[in-house]
Amino acid sequence: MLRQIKLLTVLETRNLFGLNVLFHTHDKSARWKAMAMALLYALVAALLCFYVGSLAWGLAALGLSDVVPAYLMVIAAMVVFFFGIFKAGSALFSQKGLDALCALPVPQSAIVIGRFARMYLEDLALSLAVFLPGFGVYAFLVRPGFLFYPLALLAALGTPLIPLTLATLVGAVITGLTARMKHKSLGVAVLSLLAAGGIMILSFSLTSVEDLDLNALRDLSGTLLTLLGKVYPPALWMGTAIVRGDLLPAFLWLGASLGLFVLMVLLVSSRFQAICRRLAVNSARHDYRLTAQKGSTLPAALCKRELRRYFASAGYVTNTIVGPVMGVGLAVALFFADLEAMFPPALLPFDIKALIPFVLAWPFCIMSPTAVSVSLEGKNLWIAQSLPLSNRDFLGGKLLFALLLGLPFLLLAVVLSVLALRPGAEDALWLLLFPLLLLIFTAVLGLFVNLHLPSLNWENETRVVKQSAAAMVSCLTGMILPILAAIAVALLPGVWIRPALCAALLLLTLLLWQGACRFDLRKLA
Amino acid sequence: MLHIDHLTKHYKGSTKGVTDLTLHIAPGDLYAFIGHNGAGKTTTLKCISGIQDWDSGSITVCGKDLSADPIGCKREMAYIPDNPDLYEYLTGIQYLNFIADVFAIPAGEREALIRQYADPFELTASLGDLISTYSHGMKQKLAVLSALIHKPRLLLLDEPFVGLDPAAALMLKDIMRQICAGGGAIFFSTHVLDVAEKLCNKVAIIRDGRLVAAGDMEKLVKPGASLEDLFMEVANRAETD
Repeated sequence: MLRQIKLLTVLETRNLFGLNVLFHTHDKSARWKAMAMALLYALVAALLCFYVGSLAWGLAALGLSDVVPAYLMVIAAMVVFFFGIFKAGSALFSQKGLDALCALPVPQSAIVIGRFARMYLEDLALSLAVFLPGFGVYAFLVRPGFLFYPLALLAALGTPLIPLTLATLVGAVITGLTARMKHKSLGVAVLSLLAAGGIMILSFSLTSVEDLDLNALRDLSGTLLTLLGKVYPPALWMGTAIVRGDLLPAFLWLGASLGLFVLMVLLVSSRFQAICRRLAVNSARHDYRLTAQKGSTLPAALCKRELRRYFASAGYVTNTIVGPVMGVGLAVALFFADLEAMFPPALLPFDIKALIPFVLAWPFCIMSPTAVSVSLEGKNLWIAQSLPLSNRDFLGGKLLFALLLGLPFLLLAVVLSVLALRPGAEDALWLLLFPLLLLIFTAVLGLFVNLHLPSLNWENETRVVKQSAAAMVSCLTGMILPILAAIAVALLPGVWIRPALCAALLLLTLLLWQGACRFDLRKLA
Repeated sequence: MLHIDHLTKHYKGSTKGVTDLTLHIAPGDLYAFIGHNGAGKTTTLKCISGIQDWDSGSITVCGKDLSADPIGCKREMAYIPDNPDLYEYLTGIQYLNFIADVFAIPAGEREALIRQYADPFELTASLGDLISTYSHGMKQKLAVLSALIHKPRLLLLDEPFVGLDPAAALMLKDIMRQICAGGGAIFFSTHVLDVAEKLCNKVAIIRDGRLVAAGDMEKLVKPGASLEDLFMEVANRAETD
């Protein structure tokens, strides 16, 4: 049994982060792309390190170093949970290769453990990206005793277990609830977003300051620990263990983590094939009656196909719809925000309202659906390549869909912002123009980047959507660009800056679009 | 109909590919393309269908240069790969309408065109279901159907009989004959030499990326021998060379 578990774990984890393909490919361009991807991961890791390191430093500087371990554990657990909730169900119960495995003389538990091992290792990378810089700063500033180091290592290794277990549970329930739906991916997307949002709201409602004794604020460290303990109690146990060098809460935490994880593995193992069978049930009805058909124009046909592709992937929907929803939320928040009180004009060398268009545009630029739309063609790419479609047609369908998806949210956000801020005609124009141009720019940029960084041989589309090079480059560029534009407007307050920025954005968009249209799609074969 | 002249395509970091392949297919030809696994059949078919670029040589479809006018060429032909990976998030009828929209087939003609092939393939009742629920054979039938509804003059097929049930295979053979009788041409790869010998008027044999025999079936296959004998003879000769 142990040998079989080991074999299947090796099988599942062999191509972790695409390493097996990288080591065995003879294609030099694939190696270059992998190296570029590794650089990109390193950049994101560096950003995360900077953020976590600064946070730990800041807390220590305020005399709150006791809070750091528990804080890091909450961050790591939330990252693992919210990444996991969208992929756990599909990764654990994936039908890919399952028939071949089930035909082998191996127990179901070995298959389940192998799949859990893969998810655990992926989550461990996330966990380490939080703990290494955080604990590094903590150790440098606090100079803890020897016991800190094994406990910190234990915390880093064990933290993914509980959030992974809970994410699997939620993911499995959602996958099960939607199994018999015709549009199950849409159902998964909606339920995943509701679950993630619901848990977030629940966490924040538990940490309501009103519930706390205001006298406790005098002991800020204790107050923060109480808050963290309400969000995620295990973080408090292990955090206390690390700070005090107390082994009892550490064992309590380890027992709870391992116990829950093993329980979940046993539970899933016992019902694995039944769950997979249930999920594999298709909703074919075999009762279609052929009647007169309706035709569409080519752009409409391509756009409709993109729409159906979009709603067929839960990960695609959840990853790209959050930005526009946040944009509308931000606009609603403007009704309640007193900008002048928050940013007193006397203290700022620029008008804060001039930056609102970029703040509003920012969530719309984080992740355009176009950024992975070419990659998501996957093994279907031959269809578009063999059909009489120009690049302009093929990419135009993707662009049109991205704009049709983003525009209603954007227009709603702009209208709400105008109602909330009551700007003059010129400011209202910029409030519309900048987000609109940035939306179009990021959509075209997404296409351009994805054509040059395609990921077509994917096993799991969620990984393409969340972890591919194109997604990361587009996301980073989309996040940075509105900030740069806002800085330009803030620092260069001439009347020409806003028209000049618009012209520059338009020109860049056109250049990228021309570049995308000239791309030889056959090179993607 | 199809002129392939000195086609060469090699993959980076691989010895596989096609070298200096020249082949002409005339209207009415039912041309079989045979060879070992990895000989270069799929590479050739992908180059002709516009999926794959190539290093040198030229391809002309119905008098149009594939490099200069790829869209014009693609309007004249249809390609069906060996493993029909179709858009699984569409229903069968949505997929057919998508293809019909791309080829601008008038809405009024679609029902009759679809029924013409879907009914004999026993696929009509399943057209409302998502393609993800289809078996391999059903996907293969749908791929054939989508290739036929825009009436291509040149049909490129990669292992078309794999996964088809006997009745569907028989029907596909009839359709192939009808297309060629109507002045169209078909170029298809296969490992089923028996079918190729009975069905085709011409055959091309490829080995290690080079064309080692091509022409009329009757002239190449000696009386009393079979295509299998010819294939083994050519293969052995090439190995000896």
